[in-house]
Amino acid sequence: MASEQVKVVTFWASPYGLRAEFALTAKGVPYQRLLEVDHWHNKSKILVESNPIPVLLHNGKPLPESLLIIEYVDEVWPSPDGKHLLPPDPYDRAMARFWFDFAEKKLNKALKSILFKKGDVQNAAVEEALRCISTLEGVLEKASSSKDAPFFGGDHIGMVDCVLGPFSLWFPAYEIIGDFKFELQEKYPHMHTWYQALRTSSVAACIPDSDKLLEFILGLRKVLCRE
Amino acid sequence: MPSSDQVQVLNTWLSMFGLRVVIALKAKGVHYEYLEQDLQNKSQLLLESNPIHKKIPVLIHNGKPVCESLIILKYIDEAWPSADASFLPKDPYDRAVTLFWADYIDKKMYDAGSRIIRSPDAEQRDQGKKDFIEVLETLDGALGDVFGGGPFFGGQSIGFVDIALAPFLCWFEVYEALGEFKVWEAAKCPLLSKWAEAVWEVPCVKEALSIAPPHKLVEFVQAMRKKMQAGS
Repeated sequence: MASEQVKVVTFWASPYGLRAEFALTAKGVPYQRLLEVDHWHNKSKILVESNPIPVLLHNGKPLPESLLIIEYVDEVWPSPDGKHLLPPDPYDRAMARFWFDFAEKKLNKALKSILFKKGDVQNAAVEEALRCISTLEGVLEKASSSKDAPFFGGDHIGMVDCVLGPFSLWFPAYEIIGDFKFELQEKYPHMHTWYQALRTSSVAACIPDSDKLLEFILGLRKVLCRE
Repeated sequence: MPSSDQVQVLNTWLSMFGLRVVIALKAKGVHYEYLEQDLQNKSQLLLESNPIHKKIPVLIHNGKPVCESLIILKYIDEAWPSADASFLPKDPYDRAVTLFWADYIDKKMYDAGSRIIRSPDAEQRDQGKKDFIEVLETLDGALGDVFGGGPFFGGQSIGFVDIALAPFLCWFEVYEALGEFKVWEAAKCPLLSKWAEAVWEVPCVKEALSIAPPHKLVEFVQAMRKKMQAGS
């Protein structure tokens, strides 16, 4: 393992790339970031929608798709203190897969609409995003999440946290673009605890500067709305 | 797994996604109860088992529901592990590559096929046809370049990608009738066309696909289209 080469081809602002980085960091796997410079800036909507990053390069073998990368990382590298990204029990794994599929297909889809759209379509997307947050709040509540076990993975970062966490970094930007508030602290206390816990956990080291990220996303919105 | 295991499948004969689950259970030799659902009048069991999406298929194992067909396939493979009937390769990288292609089928195949069926005009239907052919040719290439040429994507026996793809074969006659073409004449797929013949003869696949005979699907879709046209 000493001669192992692990690289992630990504873009500094990409939440998809960050999913891969969260997974590697949570597992304690050293890796090298290969940054694609200027990936989205000044690019058209089509490129934004079909971006080919991240790619994981493990000893030269390429693997695209953030969700596949996370599962691969969990399978290849041992979990420190048994803290797997996916739980060992088949049913628990199916439930974790269901929730990250939900985060991807429902919440992420709504968040993308907030970014790309205007008017009634955007407003509907805001409503849908808040419904998804409410559902996820219920998941954490049912799992009795607390300050000691604030994550979807319980007391440690799991796959759902890797999938959802990077997109949560965009929440302040979505609020501005969609002219609404998530009101996590007031209405979704478990999600609020989760949101705060990510920022003090092991993966915090991967998180880009929030002001720089906000500026980038607002700039991206301007470009998307020009087309 | 103990024989007291209770396994139910909530599905409709019209869903290629549900047939994946049936193939998988038969491949593992798992006894199950098949419960055909009426999606126009959803049952209490379906609504309670899948409250988020309210969709089929749903696998219920000893009272616990699992939803989304590819998630169900992974669950079946993990809950009923067997050395000789494993759906996924042992090597993590090969596993990830297999899952990549199953995702590709999910993202591209259903959408293109749906556009052949549902498009209101000939232009959109033709585009659906072109995209569908492109998907088949891409899968043919993958079967050769990535999966060793066959006979199956899983090698000598069926695996995850075979199970994900096989049910779509029931719908080829529907696409052909509505798109006015012959799939294996229009698409250059020397390996995939052989795969289609071989996979249909695998006993668990043949039994599962008998739930949705192609000619019945054609009749159903044509009747539905007549109804919609009469209504408009």
